[in-house]
Amino acid sequence: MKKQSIIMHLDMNSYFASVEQQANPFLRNRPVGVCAYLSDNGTIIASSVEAKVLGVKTGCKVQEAKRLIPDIFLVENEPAKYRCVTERIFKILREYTDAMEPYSIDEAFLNLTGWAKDFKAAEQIACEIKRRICDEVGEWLKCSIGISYTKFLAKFAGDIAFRGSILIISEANIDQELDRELTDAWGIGEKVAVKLRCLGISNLYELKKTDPLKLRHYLGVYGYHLWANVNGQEISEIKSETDLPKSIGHSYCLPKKTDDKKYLLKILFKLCEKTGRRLRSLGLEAGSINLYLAYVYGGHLNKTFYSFDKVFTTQEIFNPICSFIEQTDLLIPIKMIAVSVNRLTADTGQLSIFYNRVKNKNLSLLIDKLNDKYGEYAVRSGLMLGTDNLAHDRVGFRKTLEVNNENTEL
Amino acid sequence: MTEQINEPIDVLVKFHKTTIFPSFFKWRNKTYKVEKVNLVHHLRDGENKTYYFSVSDNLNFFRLAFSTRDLSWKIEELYSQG
Repeated sequence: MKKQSIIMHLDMNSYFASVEQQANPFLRNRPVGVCAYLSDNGTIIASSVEAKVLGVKTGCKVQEAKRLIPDIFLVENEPAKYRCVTERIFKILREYTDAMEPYSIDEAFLNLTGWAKDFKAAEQIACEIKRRICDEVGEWLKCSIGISYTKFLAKFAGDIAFRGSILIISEANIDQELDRELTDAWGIGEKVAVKLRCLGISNLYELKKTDPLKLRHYLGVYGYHLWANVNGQEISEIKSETDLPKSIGHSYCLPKKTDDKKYLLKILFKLCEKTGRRLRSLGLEAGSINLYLAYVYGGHLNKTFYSFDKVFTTQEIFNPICSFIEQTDLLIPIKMIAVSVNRLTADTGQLSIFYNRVKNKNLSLLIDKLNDKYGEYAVRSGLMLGTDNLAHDRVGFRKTLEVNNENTEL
Repeated sequence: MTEQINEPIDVLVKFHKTTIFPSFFKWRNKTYKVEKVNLVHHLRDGENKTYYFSVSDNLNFFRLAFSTRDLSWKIEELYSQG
C-alpha cells in the first residue's frame, strides 16, 4: 500500500507590512500600508492586520487608504529587505525536508513524507518552525500553516486557517472543511464559480461529490483537476528549487501614461536588460520573447516573438521588440509594460550561421561581470541614460525569489 | 515622524559568533544606546554590500547602514513617536 503523503504549506501573514513592523517596533499595532509608490495613485501592495480591519486591503490606492485611515503609516516597499527575511525563513524550512518549493516570496510547500511519521509529527514540526521564525527571524512575524496529503489541500488548509494557526486536513475532516464557498479554494475565481453554480454546485463539498465526467464535459481537463483537488488526488508535486524557471520577465507601471515611443523604448530596454541579466546569471537561453502593453482605458496588446537562434543577450531580447514598437501605431496611451523570455533551456553554446553570436555573448557576459563588480548599470547601453529613477527593483509575488544560499548574516 | 538622514556616525559594536550588533552610536554629539536590533538585511551593489540594522531605543527607531566598501557607518533614518 502506498504511503500517504504529508505536505505542509506555510504562508506568512500580512508579510511585507509585518516585516516593516518587525523592523520598526513603533509601527506595531498601528495601521501600516506598504506601497508600490507613495504618490496618491500608488497602490497598497500589503497592509497590516490593523489596516485590513479598517478596510485598507491589497490593491487599494494610496489616496483611498488615506481617506479610510487618515493616520495610516505608509511606507514604500523595500524588496531587498523582504528577500533577506524570506531567505532566512526558507533556510529554516530547508532543515526539515529535502523537498521545499518556494511558491512565492511569502509562501512555501514542504514535502514531509518520510520526514514526519504522521500528521501529528508534522504538526510538531509546524510548531517548531513557527517558534524558530519567531526566535531567529523576528518576533512579529506570524505564519499560517496547513498540513494535508496533497499540495492543494495543504494550501487550502493554510489559506483557511486562522491567522498564525495550524490546520490539518485529513480524510477524517475533509468533508467538514470543504463546506465553504467555492472561491475559498486555490484556483477558483469568481468566473469559474459562476460556471460551477450553473452546474448546480454551490460549495466545495458539492464539487467533491459531483461526477468528474460531468465536470470534464463542461469545463474540460480543468474541471477534472478541480474535482481531483477537492477529492485529495495529487495532480502536481512539490517542485524542487533547482527546477528551471518556465519564464523570466519584468513589468513596470509607467509613472507617465504615454504613447511616446522614445520614452517607452528606453524603459523597454531597461526591462530587457534586467530580464537578460537574470537569464544569463542562471546560465539559460530563451526560445521566445513576449511583450505585453496595457492600455490606459483597458485592453492590452500581447505579442510573442519566436527566434530561430536562441536568445541570450539584452540586445537579442530588445531587437524584435524595438522593431515591433517602431512599426506599430500606438493610438492609446500605455499604462503598463512587461517583457518576458520563455522556452528556456540551458545555454548550449550553439553557434549561428547567420551572425557571430559568440562575440556578442562574450561581450554580454563581460559586461555582466563588470556590473557584478562595480555595481548594477556601471556599464550600460546609452539607451538607458536617464532611466535611473524608472523601473526600480520590484517585489515579485510569484516564483521570483531566486535561490540564494548566500549567508545573510555577517 | 520619519526623518531621512544620511550622516556618518561612530558605532560601538558587539561581535557574537557570526553576527555583529551595534550597541552604542554617537550622532550629533549625543550617544544613543541600542536597546534592540529588530532586523538586519543587506543590499548588494557590485562588490559592495551594505548591511542595514533596524534598531531602536525606548523612544526612537533608527536605521543604521554599514558599508563593506569603506567600512563606514551611517545613520539613514530616524523615526520618533509624536
